[in-house]
Amino acid sequence: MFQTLVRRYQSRIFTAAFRILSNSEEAEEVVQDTFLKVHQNISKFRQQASFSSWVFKIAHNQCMDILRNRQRRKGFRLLSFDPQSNKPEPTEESMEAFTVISQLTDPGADPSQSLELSEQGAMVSEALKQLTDTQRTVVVLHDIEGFQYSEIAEIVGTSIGTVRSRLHYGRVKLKELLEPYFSQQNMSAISR
Amino acid sequence: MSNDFNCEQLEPLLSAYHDGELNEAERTLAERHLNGCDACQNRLLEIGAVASSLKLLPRLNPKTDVAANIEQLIANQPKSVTKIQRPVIWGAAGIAAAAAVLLVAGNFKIAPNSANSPVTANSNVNQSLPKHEHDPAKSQDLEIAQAPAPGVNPAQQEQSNPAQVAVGNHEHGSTSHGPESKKDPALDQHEKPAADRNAKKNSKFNPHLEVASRGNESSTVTGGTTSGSHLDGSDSQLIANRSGGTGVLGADSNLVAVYDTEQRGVTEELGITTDEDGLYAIKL
Repeated sequence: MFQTLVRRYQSRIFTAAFRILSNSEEAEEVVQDTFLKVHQNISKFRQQASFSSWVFKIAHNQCMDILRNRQRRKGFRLLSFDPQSNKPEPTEESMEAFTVISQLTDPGADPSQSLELSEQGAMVSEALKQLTDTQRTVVVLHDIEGFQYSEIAEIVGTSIGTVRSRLHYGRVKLKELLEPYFSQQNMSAISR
Repeated sequence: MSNDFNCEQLEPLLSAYHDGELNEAERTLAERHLNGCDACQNRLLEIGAVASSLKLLPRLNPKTDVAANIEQLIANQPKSVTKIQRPVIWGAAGIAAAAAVLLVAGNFKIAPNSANSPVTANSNVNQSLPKHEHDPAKSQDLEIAQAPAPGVNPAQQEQSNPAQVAVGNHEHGSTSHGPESKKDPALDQHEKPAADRNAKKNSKFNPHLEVASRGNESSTVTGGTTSGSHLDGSDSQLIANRSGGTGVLGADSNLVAVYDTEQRGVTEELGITTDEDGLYAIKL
């Protein structure tokens, strides 16, 4: 029975975690850890929230742990005396200067990205990585997973107003990043 | 009409308007503005295009079918999941600390009676009281740092069958991450056969360093509280054993470094203590 539940959610959680973390191994780790925690704490689930919100709240917490650990490691590298690490960290501007096309041809890109078969999907996926963690999380939960604002507020532990703001400015940033592509493809056609 | 939205006021609400997440009053005001503003209509179109493009992203599947393995994952899950700390980070810090202490220790003159006395850093525990009053708070800190992970019964650790644990991990070990990788490091040492552990003790690749006064072939700390490190005898790893891979640190330092390669929880066992003779017990 629990297996059925896992089968129902594992793809959704993996997709969301992969979009948030941009790393398939970590996303798989999130899937496993999420279901182990669901199994451990299923007696604590109260039907005040939807079950999917509760599961995604657990998965979101796992993702945030991984992102925090990344930040910690990044900070440690900056403090290290390794001369190899003396290269200046890329600024946000320089990161944006990377064109989406150049990232697509990156040989070190995650193999899972090969699943992004369409050119547009790959463009959007790469642009998504340029958002802040909090913006990307809200965008993924709404526009990919289809949660409502109130559910996202519950999942990420913030107010509906904050969700509204993060989602909007995340989309605005995506629009700026994808503008060249959209102008080629005729934006109004895509929106249909 | 003075309450109508202008473009700046509407801008942050466009996504919510697109998603149908505005309340009735906001939606009415937004629609009123949009009906007369081409710029905001275009803006709304762009927001919609971005949202639509995100919805087109494909659903992805994990490489490993978690559903198929979930029963096994649950069965093999440790009772208390403790995350492994970053051994590289702590190891580097510990090595630096160990090097600093060894330099200091090399300059200390060891008391004459210590040469033939028991060999560990706590050698004088039963012979003389320390000059400085033992700080129970510090001792407690050290003991906590070295205590087994919460929820892990030391007796169970002792009785656990390494072969069984190894087989259990192997059976579902197709992924190297996940909860298996977060198991209590204190349990790891029981997963290896004893012969393997002894072999590793002689290895030079050793993140764990113990320093003790040289004198006897082997001596295990079984009591005392001076150093606050491994004094309860329950995890008496503070052993000076020449046959177990030792190295003399300086010609007259009278110190022996005992190398121990067992992959124990690094941070849990981190402790640097000294007694009145300037003998240091370092555990990384």
